[in-house]
Amino acid sequence: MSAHPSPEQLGAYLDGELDAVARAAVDVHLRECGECGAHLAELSAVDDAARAVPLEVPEGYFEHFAPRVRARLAKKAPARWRPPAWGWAAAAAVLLAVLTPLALQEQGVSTTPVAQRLEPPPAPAASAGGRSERDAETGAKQDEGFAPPATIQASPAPAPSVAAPEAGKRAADHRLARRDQASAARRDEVAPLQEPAHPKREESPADAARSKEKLNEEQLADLGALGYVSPTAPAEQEGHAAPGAAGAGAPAAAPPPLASQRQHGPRAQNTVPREGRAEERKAAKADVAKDKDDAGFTEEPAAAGTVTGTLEESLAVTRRSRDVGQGAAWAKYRSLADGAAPRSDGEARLLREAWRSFADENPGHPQADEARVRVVEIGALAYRLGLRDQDRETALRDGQAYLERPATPRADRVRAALKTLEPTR
Amino acid sequence: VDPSEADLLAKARGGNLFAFEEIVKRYQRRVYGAALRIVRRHEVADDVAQEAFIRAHLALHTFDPTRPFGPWICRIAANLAINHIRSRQAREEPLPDEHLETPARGPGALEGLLDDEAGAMLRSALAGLPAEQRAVFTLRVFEELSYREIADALQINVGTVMSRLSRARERLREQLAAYIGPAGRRAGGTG
Repeated sequence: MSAHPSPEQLGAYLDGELDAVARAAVDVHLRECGECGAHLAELSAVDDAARAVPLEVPEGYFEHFAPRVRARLAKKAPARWRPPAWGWAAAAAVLLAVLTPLALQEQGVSTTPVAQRLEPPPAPAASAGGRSERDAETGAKQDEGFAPPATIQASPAPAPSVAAPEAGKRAADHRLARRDQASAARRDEVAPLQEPAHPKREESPADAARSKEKLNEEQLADLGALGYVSPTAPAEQEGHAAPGAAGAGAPAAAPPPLASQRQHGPRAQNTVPREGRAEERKAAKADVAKDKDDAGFTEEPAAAGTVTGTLEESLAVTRRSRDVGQGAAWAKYRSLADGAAPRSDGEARLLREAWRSFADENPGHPQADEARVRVVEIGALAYRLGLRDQDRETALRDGQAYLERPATPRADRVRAALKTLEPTR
Repeated sequence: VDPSEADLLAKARGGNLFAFEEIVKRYQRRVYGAALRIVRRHEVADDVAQEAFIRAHLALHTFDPTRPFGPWICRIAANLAINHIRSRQAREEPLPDEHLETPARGPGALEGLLDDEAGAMLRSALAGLPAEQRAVFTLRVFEELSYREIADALQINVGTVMSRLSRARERLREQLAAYIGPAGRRAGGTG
């Protein structure tokens, strides 16, 4: 009989960690040695006995664990990608350099169809100043890919009354007209801001009251954390480019890239009656916010200063995507899915309502069902964070409404969320 | 790798915290269990498990998505747990008065073992293992990591893994000899 294998060898044999030669040697020995066979069986029994001992975990511990981890990560995570301040300044400088001469030139070609659609610009100094603030915020995005609208390209070629190069002037006409069109279209998109918070949803009195309440400072911070507004200047965060933020969270069905949204989306093709430039400037801030919201990231407008707003406005960020098409819906989905995790019941409530708006406004969206489930899950989280009965009732009602739907592919998640609402003893 | 898990990991790597939260949900019991078996205290295991996920999230860009996530996160947790055990803070902590594990009940080969007396003996034996041996035993027996993976996680060599594991098993075998001898033979396994 061969020599007895060492306990270490027996253990390694048990674990399948011996090489082929050593394993064969132990196999041969075990056929001859009952003592080593018994030893090996006892080692195996030790493992089995240890595995049979269950862990004793505090009740409800795992229901809160993952949200706690996410909350910690949200605190650590840098703000999502923001263009650096110098980027906006550079964009402003470039656009100012390009547009100001063109605008001045344009005054000499007022007989062209495009120029006829533009109001006479103000005095050059005011014009430049007025544009620089807005162009600093919008110019870079406009240059990302907006093609001249087909309606403009198809217009009769103007007879130039100045000796400007034809191609350059046409490009300038297109750029200016396209900007006007886009701005007018955006004004239409902004209009729903004035609408009731949830026209399609029955609201409880509590919901109605909540949707009307003004934001206090804490809520403004909440909105910032959720990616709707940024209550602080971005300077200290500008260098923190979150890796992959622009492409984060690719949904199940890939949304169109943002650039293509800008080139082919309804906004670019929409032709609406123009209004005065003064009014256009008034809408500029909202336009900027809209642009950035559609792009799927949040950005503090450099010249916007302190952000003020109401809960109504914050929720309207989602509703504004209503008429912009599927691309904007995907952008909103990304912005919600990639947003910071709620750290308080207030944040959770805001996020819950944002998901609700998304689901209400995009009932046929591929992620609408996911959004309905998020309403329940985040509603339950709001209750766990704040222990307010109202949140519990809302989450229960939302969960029940989901489970009563004809198709409930994510019913398990909803039931799990509802289970967390049960009182623990 | 589970395709849906790969998708979640890709999203998490892109910054989607909800996707990472789903990953956490899938592995939280395993990670917490590994931590608790090593550190023996709930509050410490909770810290270790949370920190393991935080570090995993920060290091997601280094994780090979073609590899399983479970062993990777468990190695991180084990490393944190053993570092805690080695720390001065852990040495100054009192041993837990109560055992964190309760015996399972029910029919089967181990039924005789896991009665109250044997269960108490087993819990005591596990708790009495030196922390370094307990860590190796946990990663091998509960997490089924290879010797190489254990060595990497605990920053020791494979020979040390083998010797610590053997000592842990031998110690448990001796303390439980009255129970597992027949039970082991009834189970009849050589593993």
